[in-house]
Amino acid sequence: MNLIKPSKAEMKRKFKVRKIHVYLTLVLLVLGFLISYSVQFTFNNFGDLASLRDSDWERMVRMNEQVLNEREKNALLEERLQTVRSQVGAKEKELSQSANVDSGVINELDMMRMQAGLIPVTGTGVIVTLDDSKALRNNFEGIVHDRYIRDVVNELCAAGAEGISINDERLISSSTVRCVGPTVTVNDTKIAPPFVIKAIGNENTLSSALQMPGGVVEILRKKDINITVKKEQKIDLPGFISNKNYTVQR
Amino acid sequence: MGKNRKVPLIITVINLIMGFMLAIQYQSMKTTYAVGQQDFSTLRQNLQKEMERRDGLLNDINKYDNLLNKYNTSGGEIRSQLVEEQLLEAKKAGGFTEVTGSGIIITIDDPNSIKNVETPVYDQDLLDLTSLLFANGAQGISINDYRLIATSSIRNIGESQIQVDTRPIMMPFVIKVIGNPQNLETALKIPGADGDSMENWFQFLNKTFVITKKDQLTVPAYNGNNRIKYMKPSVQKGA
Repeated sequence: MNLIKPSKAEMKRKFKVRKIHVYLTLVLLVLGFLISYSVQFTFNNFGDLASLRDSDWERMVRMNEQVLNEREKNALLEERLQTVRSQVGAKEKELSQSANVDSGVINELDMMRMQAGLIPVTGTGVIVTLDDSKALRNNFEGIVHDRYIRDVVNELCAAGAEGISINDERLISSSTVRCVGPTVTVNDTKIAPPFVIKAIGNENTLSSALQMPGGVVEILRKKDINITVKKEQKIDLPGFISNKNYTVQR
Repeated sequence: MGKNRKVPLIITVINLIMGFMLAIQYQSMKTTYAVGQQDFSTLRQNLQKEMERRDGLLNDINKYDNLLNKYNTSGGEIRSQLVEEQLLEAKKAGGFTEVTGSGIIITIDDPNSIKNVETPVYDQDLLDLTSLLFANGAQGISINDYRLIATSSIRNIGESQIQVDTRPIMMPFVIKVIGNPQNLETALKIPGADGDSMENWFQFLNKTFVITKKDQLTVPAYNGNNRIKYMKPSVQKGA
């Protein structure tokens, strides 16, 4: 009889237990879902990460070594280029002593190479540094655009700059500063802020041309750009180094 | 009733574990994942850049090495010829010789020759134009036959006069460009970051903007003042 019709007390007890079972089922369902989701998520991402930690991580370390290695080699090559260039210069000076070569031509050659940006030069001038505003990272204002760099360069040229480099890329006759996506390029080489513009010329003329009232410094400061102008007695500009996409015309 | 009290306890324990798990999961994902992804592409870019630089350096070293070799091995007559060749090359690179080749001519003018004072062309517009052309492979540019060199400037003097270096230019502006005509024309017609092409911009200023492609055109040499006063070749170590 009991099997067919349970007592009231028994009914009450069974009912209470079931209610808690429902809660428990729900919680366990959620837990199960969370665990499986988490396992899946971890596998998907840690799948990459795990391999990144092993083979990719090693690859990254190796690549980093490669970069440093190349950089070292390039520094050596730069020195070699300097040496060869000065050997050529010395040889040309020597030739100018001989009867066949006019010394005026050698002087002109130096002049032309300097103006074309083909050899490293030194002289007095200014160093202009442009940097993004630190406070307004996400704002459109306060970010150095290619146009601002061009404006500074244009102003320096108008004030009689004889040679200019931006982040150690020498400007030649077909150079320009250009935004390609989020990065700025000069001579097809990517450069990043802070942008350091070095110009050789009369340091007082250059500096006052930039800083005159309503001049480019004032305009850029209003746009929240960090701009500084420093006069220097000795500025060294590198010579132009050709690259795959950018050579001087023949 | 004893069973009923156990259940909340179990649930509490389970929830505690779950919370703990979630926190750990979140923390570990956030840090490692971001770092790994970012470094990889920048490293690759850096490597690419260094390798391109190496190629350029080797190329230039080769060039000067060859030259030195030729200086050393050839006789007097040929030496002076070599020097002349070098001078010509430097002049070409600097924009001090005229260049002939394929390219385009851009003519910017007021429509119907009526002086349009309301929307004048500013230095900035011409600077943007020449910059775009250089970025797209222009090898030589002249504005109203004034050749642009490494230190050329384009500036407004007063309200409506534009000077190229120190020489004033007047409408119509005739801009001669040596380079691949197709590439240059496309660059002028393709919309930029602000959605407007260079052509659109000048039309917006109410100017006519005519592009003529040429198989053969000549851009004159720079003929302005080129006195150097402040710059001299670096004294190099090992010289």
